[in-house]
Amino acid sequence: MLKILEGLVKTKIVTENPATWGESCGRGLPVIHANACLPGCNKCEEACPTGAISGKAIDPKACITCHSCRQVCPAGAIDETDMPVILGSPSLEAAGRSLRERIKKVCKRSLHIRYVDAGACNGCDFEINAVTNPVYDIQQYGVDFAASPRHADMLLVTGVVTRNLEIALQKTFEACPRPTLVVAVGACACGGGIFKEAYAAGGGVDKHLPADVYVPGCPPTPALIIKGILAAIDRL
Amino acid sequence: MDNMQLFKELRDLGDCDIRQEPAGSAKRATRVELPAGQFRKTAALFKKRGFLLLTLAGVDERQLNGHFAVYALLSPPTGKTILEVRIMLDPGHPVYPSITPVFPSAHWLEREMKDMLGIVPRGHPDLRRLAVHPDWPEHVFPLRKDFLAGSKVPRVDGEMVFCPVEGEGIYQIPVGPIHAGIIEPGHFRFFTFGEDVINLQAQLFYTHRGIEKTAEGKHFNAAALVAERVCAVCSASHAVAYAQAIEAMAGVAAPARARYIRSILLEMERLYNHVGDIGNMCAGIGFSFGISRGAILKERLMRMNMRLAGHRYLRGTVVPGGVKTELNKMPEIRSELDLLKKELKQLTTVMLSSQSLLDRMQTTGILPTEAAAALGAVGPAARASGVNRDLRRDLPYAAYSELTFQVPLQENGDVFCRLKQRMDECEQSFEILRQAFERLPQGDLTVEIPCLQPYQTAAGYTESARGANVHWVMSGPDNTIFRYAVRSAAHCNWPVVPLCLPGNIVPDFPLINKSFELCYACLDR
Repeated sequence: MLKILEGLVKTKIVTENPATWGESCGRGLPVIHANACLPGCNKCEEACPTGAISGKAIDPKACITCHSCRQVCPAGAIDETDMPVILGSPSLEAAGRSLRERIKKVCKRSLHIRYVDAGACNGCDFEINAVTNPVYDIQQYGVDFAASPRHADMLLVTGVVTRNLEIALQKTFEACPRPTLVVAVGACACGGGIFKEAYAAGGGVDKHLPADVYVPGCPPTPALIIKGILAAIDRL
Repeated sequence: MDNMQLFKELRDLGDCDIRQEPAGSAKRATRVELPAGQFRKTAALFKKRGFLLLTLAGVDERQLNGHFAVYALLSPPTGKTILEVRIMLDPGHPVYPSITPVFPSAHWLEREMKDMLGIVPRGHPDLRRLAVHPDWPEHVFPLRKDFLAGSKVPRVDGEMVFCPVEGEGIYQIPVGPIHAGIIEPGHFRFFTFGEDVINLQAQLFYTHRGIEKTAEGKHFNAAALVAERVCAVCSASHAVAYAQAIEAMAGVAAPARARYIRSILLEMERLYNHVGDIGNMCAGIGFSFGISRGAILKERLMRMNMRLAGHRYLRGTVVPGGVKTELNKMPEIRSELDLLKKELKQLTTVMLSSQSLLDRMQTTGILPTEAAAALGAVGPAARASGVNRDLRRDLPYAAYSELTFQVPLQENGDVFCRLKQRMDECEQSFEILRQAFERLPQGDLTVEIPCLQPYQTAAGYTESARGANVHWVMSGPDNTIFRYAVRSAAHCNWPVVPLCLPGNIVPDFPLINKSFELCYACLDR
């Protein structure tokens, strides 16, 4: 017992806040500077394993940050930037905004999340776990994870939505009381990742559920995941 | 074991064709071709001689030679050359004598082959579906070449079939696939009498994404990206095993510096997994102090990965031929590791002096040594039950033959032994890292992979944080992949987990499951 107290006193507080998060957001999103491209060159598009590049633009939802594009670029025209959090489609934007207002009113400063792994490699799973550790401590924002979808205001989904889990995901969404937000975490959930065309993979969350926020990355860092969750309820 | 003696006994059993690679070749495999009818007898001979089954893979070779083929990969009791046995099957009626009666560790491998390829193991004790769920139609086999990648398959009606457990007062508790915590999906059916578990059965493969099919047709460098994404916490182990398979196939060896860097990455992965598991096992008993401190240490290790190699899970570092980039900030990382070692020791001292922890963990979830050995359990779970297997020592790869380390062993096979095993292995990992950093040789980071001969086979293997991880590859035309088979440590150990439940109560299940800490994604692919 004494050793525990001693340990606690020595360690002090390790929790970081968004202003002091102690690491970068990881291998960033590639950015193509089209004016530096060689004429007629399409090497980046051909090299991309998920088809995230078209017309010299990179879709962050499909990007797995492997940086194959940067490796093959003969002109060094591809740079990197911080991975962004992406809000749901413009047509859903208005509906999303009013949803978020309702949630803010209903939840005040508190939100409960149900997590569903719909066929992920467990990278996003462990990063979401990390969000509850003393360093990131998502609970300080009034956000916590619930054991039952019945207690949830938000569904946090990772994975491509495999054939075998599709029905369970639907049932979980239906069990969440309305209003409920859906946040897709990770390249697989945002756009199917590298398994897009696989026979057992469902192409990402928005083919099955209406997604409010996308947090791209493979996997996104815990810092980005928290940003995504808070963005979904307009807290950042 | 004298190879000549073994080959003579093989030939005495019947016709077979044996091809050995020249001594010192990077390919390291002996190939044996047999008629299908001799498969079980030959397996029995190998079993008697102390060989272990690494993996089985079925391949649809009809477009090459008109047959289905089954490959078995075995590791020798002594020596570093693995054995690859091939049998060819009738395309209209692909049946062969099951080797599960000889090697019980084959039982899930053979069931999966039946689901994915329609190859039937005659004499297998349990031919229920494993990898496909009840709503998958009959006679649709995804790994056959006439099943096109990306096909969408309709759902049919079907019920999950469990082995019946009957008795007065017995009831079933279904749990999952969606679990209460932040964890991967899987369905468990408890058959209980009150809280005492009489039997546990599992239906897994919920995160089956079709990885093996996804890799087919890809260039071997593009398939490396798929290999890394089988699972995240075994990412480096998968990447290295896959890279080694391609290198073995091409007959090249990664340069010395790359091999040392790979060992460093693999041990960093082992460390964050074991430290994370040590903390996580406290979650199974509600010991908040252990959960929090373990999580802090794990977070530090993940950030060290980020600074050392650019990714928290070490993705994008290992490629066929070597490693992609240099390691960064090595002196900093080394001193941080020394500090972390001391803090881990403080945490484990507190944990081991907690009476309630000892009470919950000792004698819980015992995996008997004979069961672990017979069923081919691997990794810390097997070593905690006294099964002395570790690929780093038995079939050295990367830089392990040049590094000095012990392989700790426990005896009782309970949850406490699995915890202690991880603590002991962490100590070894710190030592291996110290040696690898110190002795890191100068040199190139990669070697060029020449054009691959089509339709050749090779295997790469690593000891991940959970155990033996084997990647078997068959090349196709134009440097693409024809067949990719992954047998991760989780695939070896999942069949063993339900054996540890009877005699315990239902609330012990999360603790027992966490003491194995197997990846569902590694199994399901």
